[in-house]
Amino acid sequence: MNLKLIPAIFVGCLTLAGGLKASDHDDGEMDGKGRSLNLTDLYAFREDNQTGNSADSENLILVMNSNPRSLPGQQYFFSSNARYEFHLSRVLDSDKDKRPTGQSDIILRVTFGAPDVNSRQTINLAVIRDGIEQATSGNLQTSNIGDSKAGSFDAQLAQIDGQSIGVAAGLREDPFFFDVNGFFKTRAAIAQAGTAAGAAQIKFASLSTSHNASASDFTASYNVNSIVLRVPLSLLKKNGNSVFDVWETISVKQ
Amino acid sequence: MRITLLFVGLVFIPLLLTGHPLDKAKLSVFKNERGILSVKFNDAEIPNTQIETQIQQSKSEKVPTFGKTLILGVGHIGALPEEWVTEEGQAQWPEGLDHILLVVLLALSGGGLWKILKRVTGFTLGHSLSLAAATLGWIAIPSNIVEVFIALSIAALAAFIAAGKKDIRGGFSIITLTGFLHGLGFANALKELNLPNDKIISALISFNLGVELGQIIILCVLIPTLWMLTRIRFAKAFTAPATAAVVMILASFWTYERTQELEIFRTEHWSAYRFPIIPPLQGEQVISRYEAEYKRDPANTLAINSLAQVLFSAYKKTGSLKDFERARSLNTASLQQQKLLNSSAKCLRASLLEAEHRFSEAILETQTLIQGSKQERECGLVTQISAALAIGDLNQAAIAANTLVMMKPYASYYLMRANILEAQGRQQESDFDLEKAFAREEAGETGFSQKLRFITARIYYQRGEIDEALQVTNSGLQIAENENLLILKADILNAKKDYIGAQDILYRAFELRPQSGILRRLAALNHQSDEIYRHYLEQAELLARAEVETSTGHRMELVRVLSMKGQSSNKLTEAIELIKKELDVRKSAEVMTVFSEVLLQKGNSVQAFHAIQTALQMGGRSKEVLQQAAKVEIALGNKSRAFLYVSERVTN
Repeated sequence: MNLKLIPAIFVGCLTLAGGLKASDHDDGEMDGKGRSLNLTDLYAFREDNQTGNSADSENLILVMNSNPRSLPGQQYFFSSNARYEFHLSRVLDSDKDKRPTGQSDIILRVTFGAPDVNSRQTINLAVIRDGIEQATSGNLQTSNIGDSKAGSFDAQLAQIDGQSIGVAAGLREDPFFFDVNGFFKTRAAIAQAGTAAGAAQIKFASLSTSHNASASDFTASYNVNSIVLRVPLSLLKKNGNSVFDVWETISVKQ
Repeated sequence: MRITLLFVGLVFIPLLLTGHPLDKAKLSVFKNERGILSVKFNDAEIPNTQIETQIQQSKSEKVPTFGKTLILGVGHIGALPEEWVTEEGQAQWPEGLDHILLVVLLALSGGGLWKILKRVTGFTLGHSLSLAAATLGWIAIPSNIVEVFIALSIAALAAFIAAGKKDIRGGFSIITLTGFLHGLGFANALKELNLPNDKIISALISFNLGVELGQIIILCVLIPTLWMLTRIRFAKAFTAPATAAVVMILASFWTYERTQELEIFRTEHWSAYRFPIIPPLQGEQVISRYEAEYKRDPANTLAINSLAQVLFSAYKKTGSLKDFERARSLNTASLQQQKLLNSSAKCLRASLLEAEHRFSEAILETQTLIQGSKQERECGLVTQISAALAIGDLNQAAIAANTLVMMKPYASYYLMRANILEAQGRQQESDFDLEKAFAREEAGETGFSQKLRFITARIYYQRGEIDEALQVTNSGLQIAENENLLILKADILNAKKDYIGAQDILYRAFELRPQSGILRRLAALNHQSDEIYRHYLEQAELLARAEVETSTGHRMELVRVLSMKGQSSNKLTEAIELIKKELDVRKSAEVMTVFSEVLLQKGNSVQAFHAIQTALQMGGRSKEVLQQAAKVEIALGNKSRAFLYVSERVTN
């Protein structure tokens, strides 16, 4: 497993995001749109990067967050009309610096049932590899707002080809840290300056390390709806590749 | 004895299930010592009895004769040949089949002619009692509950006979109680006639005689048949249990079927809310949360925008002008602080302008937004729809809604498009969009789900599909109480002639949020009593004037109140002045229609004609527009043209 996985994923995300001016963390409060269909951040890392346990190095953790800036104390749900999908392209080690293909070699498709009286939703996970869809088996449910701590992965396993994918979904505190206001102010100042030469004159004080003290975390104490998967890499790999481009989508029927 | 108790239960359970007595709450609006309008309840000024008298008066339209109610009684239990054939001449089971089967059971219950006669007498005694009690208003049980218990009583009696318990102890009392239940069913048939007070007794007697006559007719056919069957050796032993078993199965099925029609079991209906109801955080809780974030960093544009947005949402819900002003000043501050890349603030600015009825400015703003980022384009289109509707540009609104649905197939965008299509008279397409919106509902978004039901119910109400409208309204009210849904329910009950129900609901809506529109409706409900009518209307005017002063420019409610007070022409002149002011900012089909109504009331048919023609040219094809167009044509003496508008309404 190549340790450059994370940068590779990062590059993949940003390139595929294409026209986006920044991370599409938040579209702001709006009346008309479905909150549960609003995507926010994506995280992908090898499990051992967090646990430090080399036995975990064969697991990939994927996190898809939606419903940004949701208020604490309020139960929010996943849409029961949508597909939440992680898309992965397999990349040969030798091609890792090439332009991402944007080809969905693997799709991990998560769908949700309507909530029950305990505000829990059933989770269905399907794995689509090279166009072939396989449903996983296992009794999977979302956590609800009453669950004080998120359960461990081992509690909910989806079985496929004799292997297990750990699944957890529900409300979590948004882990994203960013002084978005500082960022937008600087961006706006650059845009107002009009030219690249003008931009060069802008002092990036608000982004400098010395300014850390006043940087505010705009996601502090807000929740998001998280879908977290722990996928054995052997389920994803083919032809000895160890790099993946990862991106996420939420789609609904027209 | 135990069996008797079971039957006693069958009779009294429905009594327990009936509704609460009418709420006699009264309300009034007055200025308190600080000069602020207040609301007062349980003020004994207006006696409820006057409303009841009014209802009695309105019932005195067609009074059926003694003979007719007698025939109705015979027909009700299916003992008339015409009950057995459809209008097209095909054979059918009569609606009173359940009653016929009961008589069959009585005949099969055995024990000789004398005992049969005794039971029939007991049955007659029971239903005569309950029929009289229910018709005279001593007991009131909803017909759908009564029907369930009627089917259940037949099934139970059939079960006893099928089991061979021919001679049941306490048989007389059981049959009497069964009769009591059936009498409640007869009473519902009689109630549908809306008889005046002085005709009730004679109708009661003739209807009851009719039922007796019907029973005799059935027995005349039945007894010879049964007698013949007992002559056949093979059939003798099986006739009673076999027939009773068939009746039992049939009656059990009816019980099940009728239970499904009860409101509590109707959860599978398409408009039913299929998610658990999670009450959203209270408005103040949400505001104080964003307030805290804003206080922590007043320079944080995101915090300012979020606070402004929730204050605006609070204003939309409660009409609090203070919240609106604050939202506006925060929005201005945000836009000054960060002129570029501030999509949320730009979107909110357009919505604020629209809420202030500054439609032309709002449209200018949306035109810039539509050229902007994806998010700006989306919110720009949303505001463009409301603004376009306000200036009567239905086509522009439809184009914007189409674009939105193509961009994002969200429930809310389908609902917006459905509403526009309905106003254009495109009902089938509107239905299609409503269906899509219901299918795309999301759990936890109860605010939207209520709005979806409110708009859907209003559409059905305007189409005259009253029962569907009521069902959707009730499904919305199951999510949470909401004054708009309550007012709509009152309008629907009014259309169903349930005036007391409508009045009760208006009281409740007024408790939630006092509005002139509620008092105006209460006045209309009491139009037959001059004193009450004027009382409510005075208060409605007071409140409507206050609403004009303390809102962002809603004049149309006051116009409606003034037009109701239209006997004195200075009120109508003021109404016209107000509409002209409204037309400066909002030239919609709706405003033009009201304008036409007021002009017609003032006797100015030609100008009323021009106003309604403008509404029609805007593409308005709603019930109100077409109805007004027809009225104007009648006033101008063009009956054939009026008919064209009425028939267009029907075709829609």
